[in-house]
Amino acid sequence: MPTTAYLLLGAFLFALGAAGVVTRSNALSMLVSVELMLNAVNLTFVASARRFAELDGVIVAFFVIAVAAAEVAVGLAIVVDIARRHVSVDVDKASDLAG
Amino acid sequence: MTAEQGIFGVAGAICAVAAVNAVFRKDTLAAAVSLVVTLLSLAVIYLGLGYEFLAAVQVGIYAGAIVVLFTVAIMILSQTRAVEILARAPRLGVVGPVVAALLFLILSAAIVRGRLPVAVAPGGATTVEAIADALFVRFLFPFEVTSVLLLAALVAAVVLTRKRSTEREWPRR
Repeated sequence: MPTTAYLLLGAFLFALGAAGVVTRSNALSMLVSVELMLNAVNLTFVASARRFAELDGVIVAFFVIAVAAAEVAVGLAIVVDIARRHVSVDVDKASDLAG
Repeated sequence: MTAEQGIFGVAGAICAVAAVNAVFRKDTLAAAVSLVVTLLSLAVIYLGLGYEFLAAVQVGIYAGAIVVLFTVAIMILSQTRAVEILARAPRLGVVGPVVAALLFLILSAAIVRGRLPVAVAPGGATTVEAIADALFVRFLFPFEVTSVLLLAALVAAVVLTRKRSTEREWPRR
């Protein structure tokens, strides 16, 4: 299989993720799109590692996965925090009614 | 047709379709499930390339831990009214796909027209042993820095999501 096919799939996924980040206003969908872009880059690294019979690309892919885990943990925490602040008014109203 | 070509054909097609679904679905939970399909098909592609350990990590960490985090966040948010704030339809209806198509055209033109260096005959060790040798000897310092990064992210996530004792004094919206 030519490396070009893998690189083209990676380019497709990356462009798709970029479109998602630009067009979605839903914070969770934006994070999903960022994950897609990271995976596109991973695929490019791994296909190149295979082409040059070197392990370095695979090692970089491991680091990208670790960074993605950190990014998702912090990103989702921020999203939950934003959501909580926007809803806090309604929660207070509910507690007032309960008296 | 070799086994690798067959694997790439099937898994690549599934991956592309699921990725489109993950980006353009309005329902966030459906998008997360589509993301799982994308990640699993990428793991299959890694298997076809001969990197078994990377495929296992992809399934375990990406499709496992990261998407589970996503679903938990969706469950938390779906109990609040924030879902209405967060879950809005895509804006810029036409611009986004056009920008994506242009980006893809530029990238694919560079890939197809550019000359890649000559391929090295596949070989060399891709076993877990070889990966450990690279990770714990040549890349030991980045590996240790990654552990610090993960610790910082863990602490940040806890600090951001716990309830504040001073929350009442914060400006209200």
